[in-house]
Amino acid sequence: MSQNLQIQLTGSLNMKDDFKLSDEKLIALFQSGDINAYNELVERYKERLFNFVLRYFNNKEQAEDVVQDTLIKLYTHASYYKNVAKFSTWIFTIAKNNALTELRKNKRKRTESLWTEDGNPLDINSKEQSLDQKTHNEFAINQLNRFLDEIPENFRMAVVLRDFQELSYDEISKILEIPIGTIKSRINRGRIQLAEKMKHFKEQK
Amino acid sequence: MNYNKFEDQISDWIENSMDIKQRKEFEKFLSENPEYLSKVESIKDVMNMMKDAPSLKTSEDFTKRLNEKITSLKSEKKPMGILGFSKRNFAYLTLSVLGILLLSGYLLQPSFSSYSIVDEETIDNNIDKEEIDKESNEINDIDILNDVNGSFVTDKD
Repeated sequence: MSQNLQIQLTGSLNMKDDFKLSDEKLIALFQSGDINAYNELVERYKERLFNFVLRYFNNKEQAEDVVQDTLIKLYTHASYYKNVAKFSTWIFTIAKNNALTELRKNKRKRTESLWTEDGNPLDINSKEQSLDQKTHNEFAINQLNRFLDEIPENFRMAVVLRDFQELSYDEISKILEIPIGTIKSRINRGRIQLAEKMKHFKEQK
Repeated sequence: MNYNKFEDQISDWIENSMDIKQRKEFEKFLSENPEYLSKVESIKDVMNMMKDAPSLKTSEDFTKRLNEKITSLKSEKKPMGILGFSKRNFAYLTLSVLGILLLSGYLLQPSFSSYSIVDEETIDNNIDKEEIDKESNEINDIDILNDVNGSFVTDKD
């Protein structure tokens, strides 16, 4: 990695949507010393990784720290990426490993849900929305997020990667290091459990 | 198809990843058991909700903090290496080389070389051989004296 990389606090490559470079092209550019490519990858992945890691901790600060460590690893170990796997698989795998290491290190139990009993998010970024603005659909999504916290972790992580992150079964299998058949089964079971919880919730209302 | 198999295949059916035979079998079971249709629909709804769910945002200063961390990482002075090795590795390397040199010097000393051991053995053998030869010669001398005089004669005689 070039020693002359300059960190630019101001954003990423200014690319139009119709001329978006692939993640693999960006990491190749960064490997050859283009810091703008790194910034673009950070912009593309910071929230995806955050929403993924958050499911391990349910603690916003801790999740952000893990995502930052992941993105620093991307900065310091970019040369380790070989263009044989998709970039997303590689970066999600690093994030997962960081999250598990952090969990083992702290031996912390997951904290309380990010969603209240009423299904309102505890997330500070959502405070901007008033209750009046909330639609019924939003409420249901928040409730779903809360139920997601209640299903077993091995189901939850597979469902999150599939239905929130929209990764392929093959990618999920590589990230979680579990055979595809098992991944499919866990996702199916996870969805069934969520659907049952949502059904009971709707019936109670 | 039984209920367990049906349940195992719900996601495959929704995601359209079944072959035609499996799909027909699944749909036949569903038409024969319409009570399970709601289960499939509820899973579809959940999947759609997750797909459309807005993602949670990172803190506003997330990127700024990240860049600060990277800047401090870059400004941290790396420990000076020696000949491209870290200090610790260089110490191990030096100790290893010294060890090899000392061992080689010790083994290559003449008194400890394998050649010198053989040589000493050879010398010992030669001394033994000389003593045996000497004794043989003395016996031969006695035999000669016996032959000449026809009787046993010793040196003293």
